[in-house]
Amino acid sequence: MRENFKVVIVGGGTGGITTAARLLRGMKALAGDVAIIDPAEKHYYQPLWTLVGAGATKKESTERDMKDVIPEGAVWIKDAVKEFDPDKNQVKLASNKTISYEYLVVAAGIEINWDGVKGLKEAIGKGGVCSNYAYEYSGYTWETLRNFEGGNAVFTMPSTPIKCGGAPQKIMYLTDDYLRRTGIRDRANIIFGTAKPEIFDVPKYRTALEKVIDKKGIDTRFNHNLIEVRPDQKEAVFENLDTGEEVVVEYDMLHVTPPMRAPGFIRNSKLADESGWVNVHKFTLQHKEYENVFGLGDNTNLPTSKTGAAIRKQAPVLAENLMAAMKGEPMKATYDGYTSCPVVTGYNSLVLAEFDYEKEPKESLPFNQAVERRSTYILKKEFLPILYWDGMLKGIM
Amino acid sequence: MAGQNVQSDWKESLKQPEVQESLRTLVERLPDLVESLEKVDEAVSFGRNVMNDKQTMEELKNRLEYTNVDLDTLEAGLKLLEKLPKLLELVEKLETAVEFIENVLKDQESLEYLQDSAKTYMEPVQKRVDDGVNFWKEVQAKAESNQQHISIFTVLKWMKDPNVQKGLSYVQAFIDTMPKSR
Ligand SMILES: Cc1cc2nc3c(=O)[nH]c(=O)nc-3n(C[C@H](O)[C@H](O)[C@H](O)COP(=O)(O)OP(=O)(O)OC[C@H]3O[C@@H](n4cnc5c(N)ncnc54)[C@H](O)[C@@H]3O)c2cc1C
Repeated sequence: MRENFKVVIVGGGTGGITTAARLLRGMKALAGDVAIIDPAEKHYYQPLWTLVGAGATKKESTERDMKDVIPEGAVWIKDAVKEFDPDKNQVKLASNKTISYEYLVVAAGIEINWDGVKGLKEAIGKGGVCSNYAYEYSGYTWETLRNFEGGNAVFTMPSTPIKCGGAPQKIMYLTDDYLRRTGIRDRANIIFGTAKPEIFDVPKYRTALEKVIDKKGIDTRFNHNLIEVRPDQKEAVFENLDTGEEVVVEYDMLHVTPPMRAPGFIRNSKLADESGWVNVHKFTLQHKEYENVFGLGDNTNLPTSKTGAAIRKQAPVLAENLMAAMKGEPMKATYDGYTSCPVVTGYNSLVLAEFDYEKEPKESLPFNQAVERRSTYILKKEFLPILYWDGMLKGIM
Repeated sequence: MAGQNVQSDWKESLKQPEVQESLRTLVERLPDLVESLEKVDEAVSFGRNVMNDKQTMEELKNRLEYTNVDLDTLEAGLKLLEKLPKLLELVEKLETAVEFIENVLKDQESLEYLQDSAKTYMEPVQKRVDDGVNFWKEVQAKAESNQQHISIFTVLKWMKDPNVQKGLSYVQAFIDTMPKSR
């Protein structure tokens, strides 16, 4: 096996594959000289997990073999990175091999901390405790919803940064819609226990979503952080972040958004900032200390919401700046913090939030996207997955 | 107001068969166009180099004085040059779109996904199709029980009926748009 490459990319997820494809398109000479290190057999289109959980899409359609998404010209090293040594331009793999690089791109995603809530690991995937935040459990969300006969349906949102800040409420709105369609909404209490002080942090969409919550009759509990799940008693325990007191809520269905953090091997490396995220410049995506290191996606400290849509705008900037660095030219491309959150509000409606570092709306469609619409729902369900597989991952869109 | 007129004008003109025809030719000729635009692009940067080269410019000036290139021609040429960057941008976007569509068409899983979804959107339509089938069955039954003699003149009389005319033009359109193979 080769041990050195011009460019090494850590992680073959959304950010890694898109960047590889863009580099290889932009510089034909890189063919064979770009390595993607990722131990996973499969690549996922995670945004559809929300619809899997609601029974609107088949789970299998969100999964593809990693070998099929690795772009032509890239070398896939099926292994996990264990350590970075940026002073020597090397990464160490789980198999104890060492790979050297001239340029490094870090895109290993976010780590789900199932242990961050007491009792969660034991409870998840059975007894009405579900989560769309893992491929293996998203199918169970649908099973729980289908079999729900009434009582408390509880949805949670942690205090940590998470990927796709809208997903914890999307599944709640879908649940509401489903229960209305099946005629048992009046037998259910829908409760949103969120560690955040408000429903959404961009004012324009906050106002729209507050109306949705009102219309659907959802019981919101702000500044409530889930700290324990007691599957035997079917109890969810929250900490009220204002008063510090414990609040126990009984559940018949519990959709958990687990706490998340930077992956361990990044957190403990020289590439991390004090919070554990890859420390990159917010406009150029270049590492703040190591000039030949770049980062994008969920594992970075970019002060914007962590989404695949954000990566769609980050990857071209990173690829362009990396190629400029290789040619010894000044870096010209800049990322403005664009991110997008299609907040599904029902089986046929969606509020398409798009905004930047300043939390200013940056809408791409010629109408007010804060209004719930069927057209944007169809866009998310039908068009975006194809745009992802055949456009974004190929480095053209 | 003026803006609205322009818009409806151009909507109207889109309906003209000759406009549609030329649009179709344009699309068919796109690959050639891309190629020639690329050549023009090369020519433009070549042109820039030429302008920077004093000696050649002098010669060109001399030559221009002795040819019959008039101001109008030159101006038209310059206008075209100004438009080039926009045109190129457009062509690049088209190229990306074409590549994207090619990727989709090669991607069996995406195609199946689309087909599945299409089915769900078709369901309400399907009902109308089913109603249509019933309608035809009814027509068939009526026809079979009809003892009246039908001559070619009866048929010609029917043909004059505006509803029949409209129906026939649908049939014509359908035949026109049917895939050629099969
Ligand atoms: C339920 C849900 C709904 C979502 N909805 C949306 C949405 O509607 N819109 C939107 O834009 N985004 C959405 N997202 C977020 C989006 O999926 C992520 O932001 C995006 O996939 C992040 O890309 P990434 O490349 O940073 O990480 P990932 O795509 O997660 O990829 C990380 C890769 O790194 C690999 N890796 C991990 N550790 C190592 C290691 N040690 N060595 C090597 N490789 C490693 C992993 O195997 C993985 O392949 C959603 C996510 C979820 C879970």
